[in-house]
Amino acid sequence: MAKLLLHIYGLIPADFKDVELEFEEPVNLRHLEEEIIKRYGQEIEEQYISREGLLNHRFVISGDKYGKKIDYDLPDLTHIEEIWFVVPLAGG
Amino acid sequence: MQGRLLRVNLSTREIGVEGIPEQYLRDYLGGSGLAAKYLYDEIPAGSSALGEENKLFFSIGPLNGGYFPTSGRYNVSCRSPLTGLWLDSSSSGKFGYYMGRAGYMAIIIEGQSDQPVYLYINNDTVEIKDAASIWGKTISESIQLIEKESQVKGSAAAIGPSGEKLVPMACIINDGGRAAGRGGAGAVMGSKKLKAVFVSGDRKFEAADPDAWRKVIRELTGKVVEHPLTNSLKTYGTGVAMGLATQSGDAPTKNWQLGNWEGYGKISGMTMASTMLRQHSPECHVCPIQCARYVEIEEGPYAMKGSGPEYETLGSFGSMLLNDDLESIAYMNLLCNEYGIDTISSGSSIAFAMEAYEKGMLSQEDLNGIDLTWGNTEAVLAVLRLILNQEGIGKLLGQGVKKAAQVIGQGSEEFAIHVKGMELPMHDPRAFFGFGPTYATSPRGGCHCHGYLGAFEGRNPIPEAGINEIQDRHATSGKGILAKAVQDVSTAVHSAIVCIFTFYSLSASDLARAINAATGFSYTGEDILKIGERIFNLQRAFNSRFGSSGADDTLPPRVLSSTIGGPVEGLVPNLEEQLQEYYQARGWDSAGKPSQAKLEDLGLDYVIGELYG
Ligand code: SF4
Repeated sequence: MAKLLLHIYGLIPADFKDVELEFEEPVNLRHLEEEIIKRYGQEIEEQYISREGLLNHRFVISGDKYGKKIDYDLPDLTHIEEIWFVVPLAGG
Repeated sequence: MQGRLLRVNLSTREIGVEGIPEQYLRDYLGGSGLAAKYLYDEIPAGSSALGEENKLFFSIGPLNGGYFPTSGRYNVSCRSPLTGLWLDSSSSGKFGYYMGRAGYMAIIIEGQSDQPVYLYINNDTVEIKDAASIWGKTISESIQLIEKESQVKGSAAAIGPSGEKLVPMACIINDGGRAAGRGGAGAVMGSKKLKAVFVSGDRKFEAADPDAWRKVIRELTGKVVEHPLTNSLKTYGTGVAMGLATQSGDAPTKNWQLGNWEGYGKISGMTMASTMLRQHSPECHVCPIQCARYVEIEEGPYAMKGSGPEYETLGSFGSMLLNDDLESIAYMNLLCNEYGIDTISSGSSIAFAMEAYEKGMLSQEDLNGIDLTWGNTEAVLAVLRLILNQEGIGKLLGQGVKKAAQVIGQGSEEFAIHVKGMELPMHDPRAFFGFGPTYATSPRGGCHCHGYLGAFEGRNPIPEAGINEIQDRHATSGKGILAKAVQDVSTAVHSAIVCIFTFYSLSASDLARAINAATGFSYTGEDILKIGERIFNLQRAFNSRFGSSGADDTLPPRVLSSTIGGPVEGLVPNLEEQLQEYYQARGWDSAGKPSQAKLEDLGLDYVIGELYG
């Protein structure tokens, strides 16, 4: 089992989640997103969920703590310290 | 109320009230649009921005006073002393609301007083009052004294010492820190020796169709309240975007060099909420969003209480300077609000000076002995004080980065980040490609408000403009068309005049419904876009009068090359391609000049003679 720190920012109105979750290794982006939807799907705004029941990457960015993009084709994410799911905002 | 304009001449002390022709209200709505019509007609070529011939135009819109969400805003326009071009700048708070209560849709201030004065307006009582005793005072002190003397409930918009000293980035502040921030309207007020405008009154808003109005207010307020982003803005303020910058790449960092920085989280809206935030600032009239912050730092060198820094200030005094001390940013924000100076331009000027110092183009001696290194918070504060007091290098930096680079030379133009003389705001066109043509063509120079991409690119379609798909933020194709549509919507919003933040949830068609219920007009969403387009073209014609052309539609070279590191490294908008698509969408020629056919179509025949003469 691997523990991963996930930051879920901007998908749920005004609720920014920092959660540590355990996964069987290896774990890829699809596994993470399935788990996120299972736990928080009710709260996540509809447009941020794709037809396949994953996160909608037309809006949602997934990246490591340095902002490097994480894609579905990465086979294992357990070596990544923190994973961020963010809806970018160019406001203010 | 809708049709009244108050004209005040500070040279002759004449005061008069005029009716605004209904056709002007139909064609230009109010706010920025009405200002464009009057100032195009009345400010002659060759007049100086700080001279007697420049005019200041305060205006509100048709939705003012009737509980439409965020409709307490006002606009102020003039020829900008920073860019020499068109300027409109809007502010929230309650000033706009009280201007409506006083019964004036517009106040035009012309001439120049030879003594400090302030303008007192209470319904039909309009007086030019002596301001000698408040000249030189900070903004909050000045407003307190004026409100005390006035003895009626109202609101004052004032300048501070920066406006009095004619600093071209000086702004106008009202209601505890709300700012008509950009482009130097504060200096124009200073050149007229006008310290403040106080407004009060008891006129009531009456909708043309009260039933439709009530329905529209209920529905549209509901839409704004229910939008998920409203909650985020309410909880974390606009600084929420700084917390997302590591992933979005949107926050300019180290004078637009870096693509990422570990300090974003320390200066984010989330950190503000868990440390210094005391309450959502209640200053903005009928606003269900309440993004404005009221913060307090109880002790230490930056002890303060007052209006908290917005995202733009977190960027310009934070990431741009590698300053991760949130308390210092809140403190410097307060200083800027008290002296009345734009935080985007002043922070950007300091970032420019930091880079010039690093590269040896400015010495420590040039900087009054200050060691202005990246992230050196005390040095930033010391240079800011020089700008505010107009001492030493502060005199030059207060002129903006374009002027500063012209004086310093040595290739410093390469990192003077501005468009048409206005420092760019804190949104990176490499993160959202649509900002490329938007910044390049904005009538007031580098500006994110004339085309509020944040509400649309990667977020909302604009069906009224035939844009039915959400646009990928890093696509090039389509961004010229998107920029045009967003500019047209934004221009209409600034003319209507409501807060652009409502447009995360509302559409041009929603705005049309509200305007129709308020005025009895019968606009569609498409008509609203056309009104925005008309105003935008008129502002372009105003700029042409003062020597600007398509050759000025550019971005600084640094913004057209990659960030160092970060999530958008290697991604750069193709501005040339975007501009050609943009000009075509606008009906302009390939050099960016509006065609005669387009001007005729927009009912702007009267500008053709000058533009083509
Ligand atoms: S959204 Fe923010 S800036 Fe706009 S009116 Fe409301 S509180 Fe003021």
